[in-house]
Amino acid sequence: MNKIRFLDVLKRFSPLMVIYGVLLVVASYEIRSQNQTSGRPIGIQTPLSPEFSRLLLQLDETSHEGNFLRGIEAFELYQETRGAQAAEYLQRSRHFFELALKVSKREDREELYYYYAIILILMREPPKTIDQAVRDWKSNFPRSQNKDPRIYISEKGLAP
Amino acid sequence: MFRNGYILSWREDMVWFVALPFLAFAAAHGCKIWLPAVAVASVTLWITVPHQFATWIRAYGFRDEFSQWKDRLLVGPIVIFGMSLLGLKYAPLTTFLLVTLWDHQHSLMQQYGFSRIYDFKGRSGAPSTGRFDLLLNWVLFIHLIVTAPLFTELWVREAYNWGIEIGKSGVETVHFVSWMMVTVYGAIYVYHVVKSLWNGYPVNPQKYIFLFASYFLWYSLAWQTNSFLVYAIGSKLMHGIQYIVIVFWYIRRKVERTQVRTGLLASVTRPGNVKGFILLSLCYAAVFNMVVGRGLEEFGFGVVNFTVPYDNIAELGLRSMTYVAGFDLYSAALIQSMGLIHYYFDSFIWKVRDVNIQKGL
Repeated sequence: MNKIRFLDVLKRFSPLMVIYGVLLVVASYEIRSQNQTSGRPIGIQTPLSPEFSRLLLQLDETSHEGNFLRGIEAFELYQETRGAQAAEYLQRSRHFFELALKVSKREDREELYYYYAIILILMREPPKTIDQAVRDWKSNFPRSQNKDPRIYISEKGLAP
Repeated sequence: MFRNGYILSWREDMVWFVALPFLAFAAAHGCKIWLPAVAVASVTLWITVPHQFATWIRAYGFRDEFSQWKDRLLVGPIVIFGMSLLGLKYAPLTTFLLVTLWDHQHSLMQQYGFSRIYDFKGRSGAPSTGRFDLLLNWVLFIHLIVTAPLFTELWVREAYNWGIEIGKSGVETVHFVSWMMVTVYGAIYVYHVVKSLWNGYPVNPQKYIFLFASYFLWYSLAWQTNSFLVYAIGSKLMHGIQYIVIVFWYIRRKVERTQVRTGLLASVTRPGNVKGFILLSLCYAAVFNMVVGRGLEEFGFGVVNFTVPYDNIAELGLRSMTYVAGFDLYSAALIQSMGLIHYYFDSFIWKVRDVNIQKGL
């Protein structure tokens, strides 16, 4: 009797057990790989590799995501360099961001708006242009926990 | 050969199950043109959250159905909330994948469920049509996820996240296989329909009109836009509104047939009290939004925005609004759990073959 009752309970909860069983297996893989890849940016909001952004642009040369990631890559290079080379990276970053914005002006990707505003500040664009970029960021993502782009710049020690 | 059957009535089916996807398509594009990205959060607040509320009153509202699924209705939410909390903390990528995949599965199963109701109402289709319909929905939806540019980016990104660095030829191969799958299964499905007709089983044309409208929305949004915002808004509108409509009518019909005339369910679903039902759902959404600490901007589709242009002005010493990080974790877990519990309940409370459920249809 108890065995039948146990099997009945097992049957009723089987979908949930299968779902979370698979989840536990995949999660254990993720937890293990976190230690090996702690230096690599993980997550959907971060650039993964230059190969990935290039692949997206190979599949679709107007790819919003591909251009955004190329822009982020150039911005990271800008942060690591100084002088004329840095200015070139910044210009390249702006170029890719503007391509991404052209394709999808109201895309649901916050970083595109945020970093674009930062780039405009760093490139000493007129205040009106900067204000508009920051307003675009804030109006699309009012709950953003990112700091004001100007504070970001001062904290990172980036000079406009 | 053809036998029409409607879920509600000819007129109401036209509105909710045929025209709605096209209206959702227009609304999604309208949001993209005129509203900021926060609009998707507003649609979630005013449509998705109330549709989850509809699940709660549908699942917990009838004594007989509550007894039927008592253990799952009590244990399920506890397990799901606990696992969401642990998942977000220790394996966020896996948890994100679970929510995304279950969400997609839930969406296609809803459309499959409606197609089953159409056959139930029209007394149409062969005994095996249910299985063929299920596979048809899976094939069409998987094909959408695999080949649409919007989703190709997503699964390629996830593949990279998991260390599978697929190249351009790899992506093209996957696309080709998917197209082959659709072609082959399409032929098999047409053969099944013709064979069913040959054997004297009628076809309900309304089912196919409904499926066409649903997949028109998904395919056109995923292929014609490169915006998750547009896809999410269109998809949420169709899914949420159709669900609320079927729950409202299910409760109302069941109340009428089982002569349960007292209580909240009878009150909010009695003829002429649609406003009461909607109001109750919206109150739930508003309270839920406040409980999880979401912003007031989400109430107004971003049109009313309290944080523009700045919420922090360094020159004046005004700091940005901050949230308690720990509370955010619980909020995120609660938001995800509500969706997952809704998916879970729907996987067993809508079996058309169940005589008890047929009373409400």
